[in-house]
Amino acid sequence: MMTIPVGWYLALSAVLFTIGAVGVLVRRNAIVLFMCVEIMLNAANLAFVAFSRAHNDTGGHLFAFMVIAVAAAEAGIGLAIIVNVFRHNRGLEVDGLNLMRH
Amino acid sequence: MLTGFDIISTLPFGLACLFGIVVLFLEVFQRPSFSRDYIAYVTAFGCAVTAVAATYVAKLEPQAVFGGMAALDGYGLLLAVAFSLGAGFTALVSPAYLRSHGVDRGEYYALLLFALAGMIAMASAVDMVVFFVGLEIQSVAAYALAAYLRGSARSAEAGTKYFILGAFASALLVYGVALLYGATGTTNLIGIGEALSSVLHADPALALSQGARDGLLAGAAGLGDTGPLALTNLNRMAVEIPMASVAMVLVIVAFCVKIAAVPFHMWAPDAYTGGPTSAVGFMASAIKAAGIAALVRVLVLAFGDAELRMGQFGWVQILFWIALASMVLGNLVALNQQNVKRMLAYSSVAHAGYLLVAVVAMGYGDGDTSRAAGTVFYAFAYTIGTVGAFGALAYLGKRGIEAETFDDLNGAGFKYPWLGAALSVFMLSSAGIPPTAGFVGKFLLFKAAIDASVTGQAIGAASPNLLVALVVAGILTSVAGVYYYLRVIVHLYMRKPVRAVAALHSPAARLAIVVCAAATLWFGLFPGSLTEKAESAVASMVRTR
Amino acid sequence: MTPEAVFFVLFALGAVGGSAGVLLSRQPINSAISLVVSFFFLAGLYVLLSAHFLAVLQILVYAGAIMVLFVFVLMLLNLRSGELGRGKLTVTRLLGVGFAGASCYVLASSMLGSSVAGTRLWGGSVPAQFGTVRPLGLRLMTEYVLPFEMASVLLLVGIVGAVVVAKRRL
Repeated sequence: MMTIPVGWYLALSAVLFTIGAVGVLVRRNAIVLFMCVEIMLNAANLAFVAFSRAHNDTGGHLFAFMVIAVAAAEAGIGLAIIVNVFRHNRGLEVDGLNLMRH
Repeated sequence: MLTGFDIISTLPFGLACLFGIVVLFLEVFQRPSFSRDYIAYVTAFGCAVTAVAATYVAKLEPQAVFGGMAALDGYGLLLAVAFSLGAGFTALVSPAYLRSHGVDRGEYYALLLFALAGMIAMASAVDMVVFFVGLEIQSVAAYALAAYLRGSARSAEAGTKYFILGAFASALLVYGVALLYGATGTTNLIGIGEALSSVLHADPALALSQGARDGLLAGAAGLGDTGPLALTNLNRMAVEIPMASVAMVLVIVAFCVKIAAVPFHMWAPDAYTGGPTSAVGFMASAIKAAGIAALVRVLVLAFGDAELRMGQFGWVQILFWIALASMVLGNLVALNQQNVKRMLAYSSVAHAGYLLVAVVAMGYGDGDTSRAAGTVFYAFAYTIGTVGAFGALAYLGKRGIEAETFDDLNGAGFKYPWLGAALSVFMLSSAGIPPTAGFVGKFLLFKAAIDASVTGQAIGAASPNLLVALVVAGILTSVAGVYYYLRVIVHLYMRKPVRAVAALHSPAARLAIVVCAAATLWFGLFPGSLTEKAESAVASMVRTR
Repeated sequence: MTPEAVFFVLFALGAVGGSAGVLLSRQPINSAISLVVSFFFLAGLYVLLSAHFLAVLQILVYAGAIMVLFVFVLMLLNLRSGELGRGKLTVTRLLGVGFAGASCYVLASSMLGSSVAGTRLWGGSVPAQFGTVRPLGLRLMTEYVLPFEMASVLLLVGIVGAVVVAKRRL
């Protein structure tokens, strides 16, 4: 009963990664941008898990575990930064952030 | 099982973390009315202890520790000393600046120490896991430092831009590592390098005709035991060249974002202009040096022997164009700036380009890493010089009348002779004028490139002329750079003040700035001992698991 | 279609749909909810790949903690329509999308061309306990002890940084 090749998972991972990357390029709301980065991290995690299964080695699981820890820390600091910039600008449009362009 | 060497090797990292936690506790028990200057001194002491520990640990036999996760070698530890010095001087120049901005808090110093710990881990990492977590420790601390001035909209904006691009770069890096893991079955740099080179050297014809999809070769044996669950089925350990090439590009792009090299530098000018001036020097120099240090290790260990190509581009060619663009664009845009911090930010982009020259030179020569010695020396010179320069800028102005534009510096050289002299030394060093450390650093970087172009064998088909072109471009852009660096000195000494500059009052900061300037001159006049250390450190880089 | 293929298609569609929802929603809160949905489907995919521990973590930590933080911040900021930040479509942005599409093609083709991609799963080749807590925990505490301990420092830095940047009154 061997059905699905790992390639299917990898293709899905590539699609998710691209959705995330397009989101970072297209969306201008800082929080949504950050969510798109999370999609990219998850795409990488899916690739790790799929490769891990293909190699029958749990190293990929452990890297994905670290990525989740990193995502948690980044979420903490990132959302704090976003709250902080919202207090100053009353908006989250990243194009509106141009105080320093003279 | 952990050995004694494992524990000892974490000493510099652990001490930096320990002092970070101590500083957090000091802040908890801080009386509101009591001055917080002593926290800065504790931080500087912690950095000094870390530097001393790194020096002593470096005397041990170079070896892989934690089962190949990290390296105990002079390369990582000498850089750890450079980062510690940068963090220590930053701590000393900070308190007066922070007090004048009303944000004098112990957490600032804790973040500084944690960022230091992350950099130390990056410089010694041999497994991508350790490198990635170290990079994130450093990055998260740096995001917080950039956004640290809570009352300032510009600081908030600096933090946002830095964070979003940094997080994006991290995602690219993770994806690149995932692909490398898929291609080689390991995240260990040495393991990746062995797997890639065993395939590429097994069949040179394959390496040349790479676009071909039939580039799948099975049997990268010798990957070692990858854990209790590893299957012995080596067919699974197929090495995938196209996938590894894409991974290499993703990893290099992520590095270039982190070190702010063109065309991934967009965040740097804003982050450095808006962030707290006292910390920006550290962010612009030590973080860049840590990124380059890790990049060197990744390229030497993982991609050094392998001829990976994306189309026509191997890492030598990719980094060649990035280095060239960084030097040219960084210097040209810096010429046009009115804000001194912004000028220094763009010049830091240019310095990333200079550092990459030696990295490109590393691609010429059979695994000869001695070319990287220049980057280690430059890391020292540039860290001390930049921390000092931003420290002096932070020192020259209270809240509301910060020294920001060139005109703000007018006449400050006579009003504050020591500070003016120190700032002049830093500018001369950045411009690469003898007898300063910056000159020696640039000389070593360019010399490595010229040596490599004469004797080296390029990885892949990269022509030695690339290196000559790079050195010529480097020298020409340095000459352009002299203009805007000297402009600072002109304003310091030859222009009438527009408004009265008022420096802060802090003997510790003044001492730190003067010591930085003295060190810049010392390493410029007597570079021998540091050059030797850098060379032996690079030679000691751990190459086996 | 084997049961595995059915589940894969289901979860994959869910994950892609959720991610696309993040991209296309006008309200950030809808984006956040779509992302949670996407994470749940990804957890399902992890189960299909025998990564049981990660599947649990995905739901507990990612969907449960990280996304709750996102939703909480969105509620805290209480964005009104003027503050949503909907950008205009510019030429550079379109170029970016084109570039992303091209890189997706490169990415997918490089991965699908690999021999790993041809490995078929769902066979009897999974070692007992693969991807469960015990083997992962063992490796985490032996081989991976250094990055594991470093992750604790990372989380501390995250907390300190968040407090410093966002707390109204220190």
